[in-house]
Amino acid sequence: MSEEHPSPFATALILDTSFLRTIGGTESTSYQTFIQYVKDKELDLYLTPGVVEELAEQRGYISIDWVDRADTTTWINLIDTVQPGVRVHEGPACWRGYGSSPRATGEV
Amino acid sequence: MSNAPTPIQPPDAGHTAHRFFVIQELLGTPDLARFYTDLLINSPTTVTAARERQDFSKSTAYKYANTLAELGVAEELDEYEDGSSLWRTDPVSGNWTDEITLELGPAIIAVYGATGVDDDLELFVDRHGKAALAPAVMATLAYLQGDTTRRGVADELGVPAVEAIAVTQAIERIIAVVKGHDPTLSDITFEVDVHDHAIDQGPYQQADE
Repeated sequence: MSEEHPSPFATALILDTSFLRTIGGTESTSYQTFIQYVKDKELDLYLTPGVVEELAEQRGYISIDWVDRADTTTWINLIDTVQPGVRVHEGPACWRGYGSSPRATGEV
Repeated sequence: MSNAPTPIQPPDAGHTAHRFFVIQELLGTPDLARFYTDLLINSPTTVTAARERQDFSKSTAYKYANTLAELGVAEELDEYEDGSSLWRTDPVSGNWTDEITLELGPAIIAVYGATGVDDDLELFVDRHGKAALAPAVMATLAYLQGDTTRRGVADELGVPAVEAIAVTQAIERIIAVVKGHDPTLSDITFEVDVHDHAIDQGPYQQADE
C-alpha cells in the first residue's frame, strides 16, 4: 500500500557514519541544530547494520555512542539493510549551511 | 696530478640542501609549522595578527618569526599595519624520493602543523605515528580529486572507515585553505568541495574571508 499523497519531505532519517562524524558531539552547534530539527519535526532516526558495524570500530573519533542510544531511546532505531528503491538523499551535503532542512541521509 | 675525477657539485646543491633543512625543521616542530602556515596563507600580515589567530604568546610568535627569517622563508617588510611590521612568507617545497617520490610542500607542512591543535590528527598520529600522516594527506588529495571515496581511503590506509572519515575531514579543511599557496598542488583540480563550515572549524583561517 502507498500513501495517497506522500510528502516530498522525509519523515525518517537514515544516518550515515560520515554524517554522524560531521555533526560531532553534544557540544557542537551542528549536533544541537540537528537534534533540535529532529525534535521539532518529530522525526525518527535509523541506523543500518553497515553503519552500526562502522560505529563499533570507530575508536574514539565519534564521542556519542549512537548504538547505545538506539538501545535506550525510542526515536533512534536499528534497522535491517535498506531495501533497493528506498529514496535516500545524499549525506552531509543534504543540509549545507544549516539554512536548508536536513532530510534523509544515505550511506555514501 | 691525480687522475681521480673531480667531484662535480651541482650549482644549486646548497639551495636544495637548505630547502631540505627548512622542511625538516618545519615538520619536526609542529607549532613552528603552524605559525609558518598562518603567515603564508595571510601574507603579508603582522606577527601580532598571526599570533592572535593561532593563539601564541607574544614571545613565542616573535621567536618563531625570527626562526623563519633565519631559515630564509620569511621576511620582515618595510611596511606597517596598525603600527606593526608586515611579514611575508614564501612557500617551500621539495621532493623526497625512495620507493616513491613524496612531494613535500606547504599543505603537508600545514597538516603536520595542525597536529598540536586538532584532536583527530593528534589521535591519528598517536595511533599510527607521524609518518602515517603523509600517506593520509596523499589519500585525502586523491579523495578531493574524486579518485576515491573516504571508505576507499580507509582501505588504502588500512584503517577503520570512521578513522579514515575523521582524518580526511581533518586534512581536507586544511588543504582547502592552503592549496592556493602550495606550488606542488597548482596543477591539481579538486572535484569535491570542502564546505565553509568545515573550513571554519579548521586550524587555519584566511583573514580576508
